[in-house]
Amino acid sequence: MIMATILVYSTIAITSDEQARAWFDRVVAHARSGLDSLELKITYRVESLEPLDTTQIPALRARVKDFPEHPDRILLDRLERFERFGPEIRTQTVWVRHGQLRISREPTLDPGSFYYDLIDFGDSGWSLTPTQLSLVGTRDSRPRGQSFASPISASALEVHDFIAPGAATLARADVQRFILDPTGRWSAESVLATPAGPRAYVVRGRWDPSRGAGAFAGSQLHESGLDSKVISTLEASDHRPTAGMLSDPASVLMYASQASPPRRATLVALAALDPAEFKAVTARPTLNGSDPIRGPVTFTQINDYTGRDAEYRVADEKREFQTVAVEETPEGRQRAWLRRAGWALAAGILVTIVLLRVKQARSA
Amino acid sequence: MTYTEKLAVNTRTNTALVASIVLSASAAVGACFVAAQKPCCSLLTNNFKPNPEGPCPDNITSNPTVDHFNIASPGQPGKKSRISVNPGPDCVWDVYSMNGEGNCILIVEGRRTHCTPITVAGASCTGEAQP
Repeated sequence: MIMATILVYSTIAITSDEQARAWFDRVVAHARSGLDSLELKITYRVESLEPLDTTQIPALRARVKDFPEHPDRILLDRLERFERFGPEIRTQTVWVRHGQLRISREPTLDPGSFYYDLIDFGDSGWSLTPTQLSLVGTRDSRPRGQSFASPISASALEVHDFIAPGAATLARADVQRFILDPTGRWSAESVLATPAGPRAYVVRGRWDPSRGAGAFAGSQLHESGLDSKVISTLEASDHRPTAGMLSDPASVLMYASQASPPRRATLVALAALDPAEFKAVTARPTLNGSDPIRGPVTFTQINDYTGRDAEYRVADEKREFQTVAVEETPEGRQRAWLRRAGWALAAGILVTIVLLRVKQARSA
Repeated sequence: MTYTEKLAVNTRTNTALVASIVLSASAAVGACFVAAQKPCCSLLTNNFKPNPEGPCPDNITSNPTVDHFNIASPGQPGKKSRISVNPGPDCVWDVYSMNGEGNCILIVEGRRTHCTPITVAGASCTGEAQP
């Protein structure tokens, strides 16, 4: 009887362990596919928790007073903004459908700030601010600074961190151990290849065998091996089981890292995405049309980066868009410099030849 | 002609060569300007420009056009003097950086730098021919 009980318990433990590991692997694989696997609408805000000392402002002002290029002007600007508007808070909504997405960032408390929206289809995209509409082509063809790569990758990480905190990073790591204890707590130890060398990366979570589901509760990144210093942590809390989700999404994420100021991300809303809504919010507004999120358009400049050469169009008083001449664009200006330098060089060579000929004639 | 005399002639020739190149280059730079509108970020002259290169480029979120100037083409009517005016519209971008995990993360959102539009005023001139 005792032997039979032990056998049954062992079987349950093994089954639960295997189930938990299979679930864990599914979540990580889901995160590995990035935005391609997602079809949702999520709104969240990220607040900087960086401790800023505004008492230094007078001394900084005095220090940079006569130096317009002084590097401390960056710090001064941040401190002044912090003093006037409080901590930086970014609020954004992401609509993502099989790798295509719209990110809508709201203005901050700074009254001089404004919204910024980007829409990416992979083979094309556009971005919108109150003053500009920018059009881009395929991801490979986009000019630097207009690739959308950074905001998309940063948003993808944040979205995945709400769904399964740490899973997106784990998807790039080599998972070496998965341990489930009898209370349902699990941890996964992995090695992450980073630009600074291999680092141990540990993710923790909970497993509920009765539901066959669980949650990712946090992670920590070590400087090198497991025994080395922890240099980055992510703590997730207030998990809420959500229909259609492999793991229970977290509502609050706390980031702490040596590389960047601490910040807190708070989930505002998370819902499945209606394809009709996605189609509506990713439709490009016409010149005098309206955007479903921002209302009637107000942009007065169109930057078209879809062709070989960038084209800029600026609205006149009648809101008719006129193309800015090539020589008035950054690209055109560079070409003009090259052209002028070429002419200058040619003139110099010509004068040299003439002088040499004159000299030869005189010598003869 | 002695060696010293030849050396003197060669030196004068080289000096003339350098002077001619410098003068040609100066003439190419020109001194006639025509009003234009340009994207703000392209005009920033301080150290805090958006970083559009590298594995983690900053992202420009606003780049309004501002009044500026171009060097006039040969024969094109322009103005002789330039006047710097107060800082105008902002060039706005998000600053990204690699964290310890090799991920590109947003460090500062909405960093602003004033453009300094330069307007054209003063006596008229024509193209690059006039210094």
